[in-house]
Amino acid sequence: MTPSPETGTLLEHLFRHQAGRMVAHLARLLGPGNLQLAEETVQEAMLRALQTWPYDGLPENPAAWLFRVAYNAAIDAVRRNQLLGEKTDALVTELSRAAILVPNDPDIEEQLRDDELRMIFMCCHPEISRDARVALSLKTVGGFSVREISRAFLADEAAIAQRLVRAKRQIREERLTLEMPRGTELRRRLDSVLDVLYFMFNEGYTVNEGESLIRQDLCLEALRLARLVASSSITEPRVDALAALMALKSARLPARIDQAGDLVLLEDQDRSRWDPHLISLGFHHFDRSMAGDELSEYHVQAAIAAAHARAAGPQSIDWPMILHMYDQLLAINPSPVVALNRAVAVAKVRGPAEGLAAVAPVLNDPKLRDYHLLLSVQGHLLLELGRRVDAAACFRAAMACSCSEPERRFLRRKLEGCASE
Amino acid sequence: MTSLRKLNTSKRRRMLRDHVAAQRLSTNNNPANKKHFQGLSPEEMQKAVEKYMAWAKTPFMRDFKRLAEDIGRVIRCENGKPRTADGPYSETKEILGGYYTIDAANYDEAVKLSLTHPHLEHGGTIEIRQVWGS
Repeated sequence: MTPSPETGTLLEHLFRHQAGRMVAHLARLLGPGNLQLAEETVQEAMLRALQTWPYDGLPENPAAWLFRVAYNAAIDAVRRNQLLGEKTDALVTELSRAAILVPNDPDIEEQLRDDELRMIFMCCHPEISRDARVALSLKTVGGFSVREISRAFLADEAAIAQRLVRAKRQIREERLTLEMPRGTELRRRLDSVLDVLYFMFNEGYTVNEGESLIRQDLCLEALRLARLVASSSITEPRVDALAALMALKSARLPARIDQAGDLVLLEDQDRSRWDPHLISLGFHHFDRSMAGDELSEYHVQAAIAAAHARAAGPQSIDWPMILHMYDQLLAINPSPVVALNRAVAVAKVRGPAEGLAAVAPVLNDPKLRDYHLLLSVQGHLLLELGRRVDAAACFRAAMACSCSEPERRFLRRKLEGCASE
Repeated sequence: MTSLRKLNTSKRRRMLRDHVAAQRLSTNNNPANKKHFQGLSPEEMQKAVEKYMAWAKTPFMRDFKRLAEDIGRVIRCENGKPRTADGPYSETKEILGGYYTIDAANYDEAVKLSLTHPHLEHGGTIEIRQVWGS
């Protein structure tokens, strides 16, 4: 975590990552009811950095500097705060002791990871609504601002802020703790954590109008947190499956949009632009996910992502294997979206006519009403069958649905293709 | 401790002939400014720190210093007797964060160069004075 003093530059995302750990650590010392105070002292430390570093230069260890200043701000706040009553002295001693710790020390490192883990588990408490769980995790552990969260989710800033205020009040009033749950409660909470991380990832991964840079950060943050859980003692194979799925899909992010800002389908992507580091990370977690008998939805999805990553080119994708995986996925999660994705695999293995037949059962599903991807798949299969007029009607209808600009341009190109072929 | 005295108009006009302009930044502690920074994410704060630090490395930079975060002291002569008081600024929002000495041919250039300072992206204030010597 040290910067390179020669260049005087900060490590990328240093503030974001340290902020999450500082808040988690301070919240444990101050008590989760004082989460707001923990966040404010961390904010104060960063503001101090802004006021001093530009003139005085970077401190030797910026992370340690931020920790120390945050602790001192916390000590001041605790001394001022009468609410803590007789606990004040003990807390000040504890904070003063913590203030001299250096975050790079391996033991401290482990303590900080543990704090972060506890914080994720508290933020994902089933008592808190799912939307609030996601916002709270992003704010406190991920170090995202209210504005960034609202941009990523295309939500109103005030609504996100309100959600956070309510969640923090809930933590205080219902006395939620940073204690790690045990037994069956642990399993339930772990599922909630994975659900939040999966949702966070998908929000970032879905192509929409939100700012792409923040959305990509959302994917990578979800992956970081999944890996944090996977490296802890309470992990289960499905955590690795989720991490594998996220890493393998994130690897494709650089190739998903071409230079003109247009959407590139998975098959047409320039595989040399896939991130090799994320691919190998994905396979590492995929291998680990094979331990034990558990076969979760994340396992099957990771297996599909791995099949794509393994193929050297579009010709060598193992579609029969992918279809087999979709059959399994449909058995675990019989959702119309899974059925639609399965239909694409059916078309690859058995031809467009069978693919179209596999789309048929979900055509009138209310959940897929005005879903542009359903119409797009349908149009694509019709075009392959030479039914250009029907295909054009599908692409036209897809364009009338709500979708992102790159998607709309993609559909327009498909529509033009119907006329020229 | 740097003493910052108000300059009378004629003196300031004469100083325009020189080639060095000093610039002072009000600190981020005024309430509106502070609120702005509190709304920033750690990522945005880091970006801001990096931009401020990069500005200190611009080729026209001569010198820069951080100022103590208080309102300083001002000494005035009243009836031949020096009297010390807080100031020269009464409002805390006018506390100066620091100063830079930059090379510029005149005020126009000094303003132009100063407009690139990230402080302005965050609602901060910059004050420019020309100093003797080049």
